[in-house]
Amino acid sequence: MNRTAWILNLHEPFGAALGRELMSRGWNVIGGEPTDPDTREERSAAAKNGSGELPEPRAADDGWGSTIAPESVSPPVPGGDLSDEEERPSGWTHGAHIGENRDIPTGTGSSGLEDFEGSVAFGPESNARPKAGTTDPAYAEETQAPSHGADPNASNEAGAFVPAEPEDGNSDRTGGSAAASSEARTSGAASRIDLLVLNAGEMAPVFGHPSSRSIEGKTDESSVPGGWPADSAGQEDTTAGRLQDYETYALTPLRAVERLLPRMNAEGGLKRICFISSREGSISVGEAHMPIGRAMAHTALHMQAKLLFNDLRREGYTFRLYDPGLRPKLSGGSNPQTGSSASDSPMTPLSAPIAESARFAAGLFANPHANEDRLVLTGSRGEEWPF
Amino acid sequence: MSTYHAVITGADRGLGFALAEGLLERGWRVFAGSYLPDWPQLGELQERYPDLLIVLPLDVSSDSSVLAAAAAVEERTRSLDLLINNAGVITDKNEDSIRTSQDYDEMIRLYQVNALGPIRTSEAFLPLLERGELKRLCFVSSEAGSIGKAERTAWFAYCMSKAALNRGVRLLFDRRRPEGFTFRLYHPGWMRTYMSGERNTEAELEPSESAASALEYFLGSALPWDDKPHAIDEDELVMRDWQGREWPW
Ligand SMILES: NC(=O)c1ccc[n+]([C@@H]2O[C@H](COP(=O)([O-])OP(=O)(O)OC[C@H]3O[C@@H](n4cnc5c(N)ncnc54)[C@H](OP(=O)(O)O)[C@@H]3O)[C@@H](O)[C@H]2O)c1
Repeated sequence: MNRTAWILNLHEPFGAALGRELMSRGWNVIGGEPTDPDTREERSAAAKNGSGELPEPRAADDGWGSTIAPESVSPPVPGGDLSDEEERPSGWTHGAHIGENRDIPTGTGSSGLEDFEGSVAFGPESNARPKAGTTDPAYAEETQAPSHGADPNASNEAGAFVPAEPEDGNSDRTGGSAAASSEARTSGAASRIDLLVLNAGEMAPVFGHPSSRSIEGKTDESSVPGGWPADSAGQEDTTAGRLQDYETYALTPLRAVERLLPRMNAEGGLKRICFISSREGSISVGEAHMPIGRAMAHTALHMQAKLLFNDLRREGYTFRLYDPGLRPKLSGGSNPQTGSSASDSPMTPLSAPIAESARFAAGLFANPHANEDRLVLTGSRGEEWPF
Repeated sequence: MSTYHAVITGADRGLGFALAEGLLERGWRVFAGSYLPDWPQLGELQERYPDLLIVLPLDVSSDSSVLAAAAAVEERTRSLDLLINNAGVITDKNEDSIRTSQDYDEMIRLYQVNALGPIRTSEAFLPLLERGELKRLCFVSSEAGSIGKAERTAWFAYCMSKAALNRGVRLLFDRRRPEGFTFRLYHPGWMRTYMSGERNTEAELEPSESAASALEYFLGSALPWDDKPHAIDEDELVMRDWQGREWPW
């Protein structure tokens, strides 16, 4: 029996990268699609062509209307060889293993400031993809039966992509019909959802380096110009923009949980809900020059995750709250930096920070954790961020 | 002694009214935000303090209402010392668990009033506060906004709005503290007020009791907790309750 992950926003860069990572680990991936229903069948057919690949958007992104997987940026074949990785242009990461990069702490993956329990279960060293047909001892966790209701029969073969309705920040405000139709559309394809990934909005790489602020509260290099964008003008500072941020980052995930929860209850399901958030939402350490509405919406998301955790943990659900170390893309078109971000430029290869972060996320989401009874905002290097 | 000036939102009844009364007793000039024109309490208070109390129509969820209120205050004073963001709402959908259908319109309504309301009001009154002596921004939040301590299993609309408020206050604090503004973030306790539409007689505190603690915190530079007086560190933002206890984020 296969495991199925449902990814709210399966767009490039982060959502699709995560989807590929999960597929390479044998997961089926269901995910969001642009709204144009006419193109869905086409994509569906493309997805069913046997390759099991997540198609890349084409340069003039018309909403994934047609499926193009350019040679140069061809996504890794599920279960494919890691040599694929080496052909990617290197950014600040170089090897297949995060631990190979001197910038990334190795060992437990903990910042050392606060014990990051269970980090060995999915710390950087254990976070590379296994080669096809091999058993990587670092992956022992993934092939063991996870502690809470996981599917012991989950296969490790290459997964499949099943397109679904979008769940991005543009879902309607009133009824969550996108979530509803998504539920309907995907029910035939995969009735049970094991892993729900709530990655609302779009991510773009942080310029310079994914870490923006140390836990002690000191700022590092990305806080200086060229790091996080200065407080943005325009939409982000209007009531409409702030409400849109709330809709995108807080309400859309809740709508998805409400709609899809019945599909997670099935016997033998993993029952894991993963929130992609941002330390922008951390009251303790979030920075001051963030757009205020977006920062607030992320804090609301953290509260939402905590309330759901309090409720559903009792039924065996487990939770992840992940800061990918990427900056949510500004809405409202007020940020001059977005024009050069990877997400706006589908023909450019995924930036290394996004690929690394997605890979770490896949390990974090797929593996059991030593302490499932505590909700932790976890960064892309395994570090814990305070609320 | 020159007269200090304060604006209080949601002052028709409950904690806001008690705060207005407490400041008037101290000789402050109070602009009391009124959202509920037919409620009699502010009218009665105005009879007692005709020179010091100015009733101000104010809906904190509306940009235009907040801007109009700021303009009306500016017509009467060139500076403001204290802004108390008190207005807040709750919903009768609190107990709806994720297994039942959620009311997203209510979530947006609560967010507009409880989270964005205090931010937009603060932004609108900043120029007046900048010319004031105290430059103090006070926010009535709630333990329900503490993620670290959250034990509820629903209450999405209210808890999310108050947690978001705390983040917004922190962001304002980081931006404005260097300019000399000071901040207070307060959890008032469980009060016999009107949040559910009628007075909650089962609750722990009279609003006047919580208002007395609040004013000590809002106006003072020291506060007793752990049975000892402590100087308030203006360079650190924390959420304190009516007993001076700090709540985790
Ligand atoms: N009561 C508690 O146990 C408790 C606990 C923790 C925190 N708090 C917080 O304490 C604060 C004061 O609440 P309270 O207990 O005194 O409640 P309350 O008796 O209902 O007083 C709140 C006041 O705000 C007004 N208001 C509602 N919407 C408004 C808007 N859009 N613009 C301006 N004013 C508006 C209310 O008017 P209407 O009466 O017409 O709605 C009311 O006069 C709130 O921020 C609340 O979240 C209360």
